[in-house]
Amino acid sequence: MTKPRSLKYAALLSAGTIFFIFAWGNVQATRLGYNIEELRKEIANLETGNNYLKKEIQTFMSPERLQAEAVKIGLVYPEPDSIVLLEEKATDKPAKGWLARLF
Amino acid sequence: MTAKTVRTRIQACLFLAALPAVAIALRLFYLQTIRHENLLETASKEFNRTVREVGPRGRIFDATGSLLAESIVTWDCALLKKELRDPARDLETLSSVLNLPGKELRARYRKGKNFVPVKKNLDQAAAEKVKALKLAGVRLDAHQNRYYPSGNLARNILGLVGNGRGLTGVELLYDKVLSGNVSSREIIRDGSKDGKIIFQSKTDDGRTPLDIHLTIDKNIQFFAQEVLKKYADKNRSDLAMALVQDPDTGRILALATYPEDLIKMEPVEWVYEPGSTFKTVTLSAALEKGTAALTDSFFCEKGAWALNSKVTIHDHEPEGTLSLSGVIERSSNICAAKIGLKLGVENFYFYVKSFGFGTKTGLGFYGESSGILRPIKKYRTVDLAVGSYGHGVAATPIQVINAYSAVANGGRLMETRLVDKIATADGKTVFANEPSAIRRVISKATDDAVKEVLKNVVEKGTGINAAVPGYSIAGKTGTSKKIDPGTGKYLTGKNVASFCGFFPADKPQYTILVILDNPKVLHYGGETAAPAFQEIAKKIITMRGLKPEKSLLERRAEAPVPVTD
Repeated sequence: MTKPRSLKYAALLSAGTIFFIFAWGNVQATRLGYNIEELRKEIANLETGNNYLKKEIQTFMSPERLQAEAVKIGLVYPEPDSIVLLEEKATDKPAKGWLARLF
Repeated sequence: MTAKTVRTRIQACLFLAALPAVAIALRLFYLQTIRHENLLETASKEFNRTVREVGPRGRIFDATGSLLAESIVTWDCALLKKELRDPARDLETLSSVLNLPGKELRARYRKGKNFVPVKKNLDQAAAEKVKALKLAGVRLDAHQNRYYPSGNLARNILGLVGNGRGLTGVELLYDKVLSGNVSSREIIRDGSKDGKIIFQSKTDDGRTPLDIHLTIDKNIQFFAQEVLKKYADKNRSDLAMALVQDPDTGRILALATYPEDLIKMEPVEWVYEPGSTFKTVTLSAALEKGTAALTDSFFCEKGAWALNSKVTIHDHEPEGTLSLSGVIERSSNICAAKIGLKLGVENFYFYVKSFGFGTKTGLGFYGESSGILRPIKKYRTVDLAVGSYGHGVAATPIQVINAYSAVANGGRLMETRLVDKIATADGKTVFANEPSAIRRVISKATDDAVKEVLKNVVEKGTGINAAVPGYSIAGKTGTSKKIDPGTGKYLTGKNVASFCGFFPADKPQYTILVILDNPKVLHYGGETAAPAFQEIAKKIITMRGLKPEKSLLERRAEAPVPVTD
């Protein structure tokens, strides 16, 4: 008489546990769904922010912008004959200083 | 009370307690099985949604790795009238945040039924400001937008994008490569007030957009655009073009047009009679076939030569007898015609075709023209005579620069390259567009002779305005009459001025073609296009740090010559 009753309890407990695990799984899935969506938004926002910063750098680096800034401070584009090109001299002597040798 | 009675009562209680549970179970069974499909559909409509997202298009870079075009997220702001709580206040807040005239926004609000567009393409900062207001009924829809960090730089090459698709230029030509990844995201909105999203799943088409690396050099393109604008405005020309090419590889370094046209790819679509710049082709063919030599002399008929009873050929300046080099230096049409007639139709036609005229370059742009070169069977003596100085044939600017690059590189016609490589976002090359020679057109010996003549053109001929002190420049001026597309006849007082050349002439690194269509102040290529060539060349020389030749620095300037061609 005792054995079948304990079996019944065990079955009931198992069913309860399974139901609990199932319910817990669903709650976790929903919670993770919220988290994923939040993180997805955050990633997208950070990526967009990063792209905007890169865009700004590229805009500042554009030739048109650089020229405008150069003109503002009184610079002009040089003529070919106003540039002095230094001849490269090959030297066999090693650099003397320890710092120069290092690099 | 007997134990039996107690048990019966307990069973009765249990039965009564179980009844609602059974009823609920039956109801659940009914809902979950019999009504399952209908209810699922209704619930899905209410909470589930499939969001289609188009990812960013591939980027476009120049040859040095500078960004020319990229996609970025922007937002469109709109109002849903029925959901606004305090329309007057909300409109005022929005107009101040988005720097919109309040009057205009209110007018738009009054006109709209429910959906009222407020402002398009907001940047992230503006969109964040609108979000922070937390106004009910204000929508912000994010989408990918194309932006060009260098502004108008090379826009005529890049083209246009609309609704995520390339419409013109490189954007259209390489649309399949550049198109953004399309993904679908399953989402569920919960029952909370603001309907929070619960992520479900994501599927995409498995495609990744690739980046295009053009052969265009950002700085050279900028110089070309800047100089072109200056000379086009100065001469009040209808259209102007400047092309720069690396003659050894066929790589296009700059393709500038002014006014800028984002729809048409003018350097490959626009055709014109190349005029005297075409004499280089005639000269190359004659020297290669041996029908003319540098030691030959030609009589220029003092400026007018009656080819037949109907056709008389004129020179810009009356000349007597000139050497072969002198013919090109002074750009004599009469002597060029004589050289052409001596060469013969078949030889002339063969070299014209060999230099790439009458054939598309293979860049692939939809509107590309192969120019106009009538079939050899229809070539009469007069066609040969005028064709020898670039009339009666029409070419695209890209064909002309390709031919000059062939002369510059020692006689090989190269395939034109505008795309250097296609790579993944992390820089892995998927396709490398290596330089390739189409054919050898003329021998090295002939080529050296042609280069010498073209150097003379700049040193003491009609191209003297293209000269840069200290550097050997080779090139040829051209001035041709414009044709009325309706009647096919030449238009009086309207011409196309051009100059095509390369430098340093002994080891050419850059070929430049400048064209001014219908210049109204000065008219000849030597007066209008040659100075523009010189200015572009000077800027490239300075930027690249090309060393001057000492012997050329010491050379004295020649006496002024007419630049009437």
